[in-house]
Amino acid sequence: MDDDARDMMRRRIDRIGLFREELAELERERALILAPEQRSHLDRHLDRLLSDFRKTYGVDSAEKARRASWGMKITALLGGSALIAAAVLFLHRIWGHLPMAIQVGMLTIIPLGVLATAALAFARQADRYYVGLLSLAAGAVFVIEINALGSVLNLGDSPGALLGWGLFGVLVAYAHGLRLLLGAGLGLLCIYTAALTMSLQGYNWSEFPMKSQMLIPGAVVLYVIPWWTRRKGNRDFDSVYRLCGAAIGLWALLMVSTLGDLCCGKIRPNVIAAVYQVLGIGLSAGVVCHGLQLSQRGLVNLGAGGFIIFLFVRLHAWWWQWMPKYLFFLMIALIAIGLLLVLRRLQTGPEKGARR
Amino acid sequence: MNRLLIMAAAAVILVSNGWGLWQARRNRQEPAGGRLEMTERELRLAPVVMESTVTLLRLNWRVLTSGKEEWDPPVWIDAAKLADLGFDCAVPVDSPGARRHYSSMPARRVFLALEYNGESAQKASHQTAGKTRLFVVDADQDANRLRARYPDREHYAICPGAVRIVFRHRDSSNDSAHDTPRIEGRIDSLRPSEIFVPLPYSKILRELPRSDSENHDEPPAAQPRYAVRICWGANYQPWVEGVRLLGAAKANQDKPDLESEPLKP
Repeated sequence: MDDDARDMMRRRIDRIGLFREELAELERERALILAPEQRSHLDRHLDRLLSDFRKTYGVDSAEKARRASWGMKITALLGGSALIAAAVLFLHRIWGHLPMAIQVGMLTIIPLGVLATAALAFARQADRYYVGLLSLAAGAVFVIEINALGSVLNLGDSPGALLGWGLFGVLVAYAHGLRLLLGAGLGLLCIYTAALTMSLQGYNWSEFPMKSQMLIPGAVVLYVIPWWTRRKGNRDFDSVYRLCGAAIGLWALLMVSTLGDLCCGKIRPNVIAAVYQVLGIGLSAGVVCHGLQLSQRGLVNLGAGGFIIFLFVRLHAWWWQWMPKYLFFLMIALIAIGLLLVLRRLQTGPEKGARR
Repeated sequence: MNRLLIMAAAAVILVSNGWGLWQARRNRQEPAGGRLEMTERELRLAPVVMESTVTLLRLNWRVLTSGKEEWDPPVWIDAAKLADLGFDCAVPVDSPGARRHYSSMPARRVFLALEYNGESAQKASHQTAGKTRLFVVDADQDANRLRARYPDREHYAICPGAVRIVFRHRDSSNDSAHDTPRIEGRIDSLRPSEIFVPLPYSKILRELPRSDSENHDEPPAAQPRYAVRICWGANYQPWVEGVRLLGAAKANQDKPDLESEPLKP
């Protein structure tokens, strides 16, 4: 079943429930009194709708989702984590007694089994939270499995593992509509591009944070993908692409400006660092504006966070050495208050405009 | 659509595992990296972690250093060697951006030449009784060039590793500032640094008491208890080819040596 259709169905069921509650309240307050035939016609219509949803989409899942309390979810998370830990420790205990062929066979079958369980849970309309947990478990098992296989066969570490994990994350995320897994998969694919470039240049690819500028092309591609797939893709996923692209891009820029190699001809390294940080401030502001334009709160918060970090790093470089320390922190506090006012105005502006 | 996506995810698992198996098979077709029979001094049993029955051997290696201390750089890595290994050493060490340039440089993946019980061990024998006799003696970006320099496959193995450049503006022994900063090279790691021991070889080693010590420089308490033959293949990845017990350990266990082909006497 299409995930968007399931989401729409769930929202409709929620609306029907709320509508019935509000109608009952209005009738109690005698603000709206429907004629008996109107009321029975309405009830029949709504019951028929819910029945259709139950038959076509498995409506019970929405009701189950409501019933699943946070307590149950946390218990499931702890239980699942403990189960994986138990399985890993048990395998550690017996691993040395198994022939290599059985070790390799188990390493292939176990992640496939967890993946099949997640797919089965999804097909049976289980709550999305549990499908998400099982899918994340499949991803974690795949990561452990590749590391174990590398150890058993004494293979050297390779950036190709990042490609496999990233693709797996993205495919399962699209299959089950999971934002967290999509974010993890996209992050891994972005890191893979940097690691592959470093590997081709002869560097130790696992030290990619030392050459974080190599993450920037991948981050830009992630950010612009929603423009290419306009109106074709899942809207929720568009925000994940943009969040991942912005977060990785801003982090890479911050790392380059603070730790990266800034030798660039005759220009002094601190000048280049300042240029990168001012660029970071500008890009963070751009992310905030774009987030406001798209009404994506996550993007606004990320941009605001990036803006403050870049600003703090730059002001520290400019002022820390000569300014009295109390004055430095006072200035930071005043700038933060100013930023809060600006952000508040930016957030309320479009709402006022919309009301007019 | 969902089914297709899940099948594609399953295919990713299968392809990844298949790729790993194919690489391992390809590696074992030819022992291009060499074959060394080393003892417990060079191959230390990794400590047991959380009831694990996995047997891993850690490669315990050293370098001949340019100074008296063990943390001094290898005698054979100089600025020319670093440039040869692909490091960008063009920035003058006394220029304003030199420290950041060299400090932010990641390690480089290279091939390392391992010499067992050779000239380096003899040179270092006066200060290193009981310590490892495995020395990293050279590095190159190309494994074939390195093999051409060290053609003896029974005493020199070629394995992947990483070399790091270090910017030094202070003397680490007395913390005094150098007149002029300098760059040094260091062996970062051998890859893999631990070798998995499969059945039936692991059965012999598992029964030996293991040290909890993480200190690899510390020599074994008594004489080496075992010798293991390691082979580095076409991809320069290692595998265990034979295990035999030595001295008292052999008398205690009373087990035959296990080897895929006869070990040299």
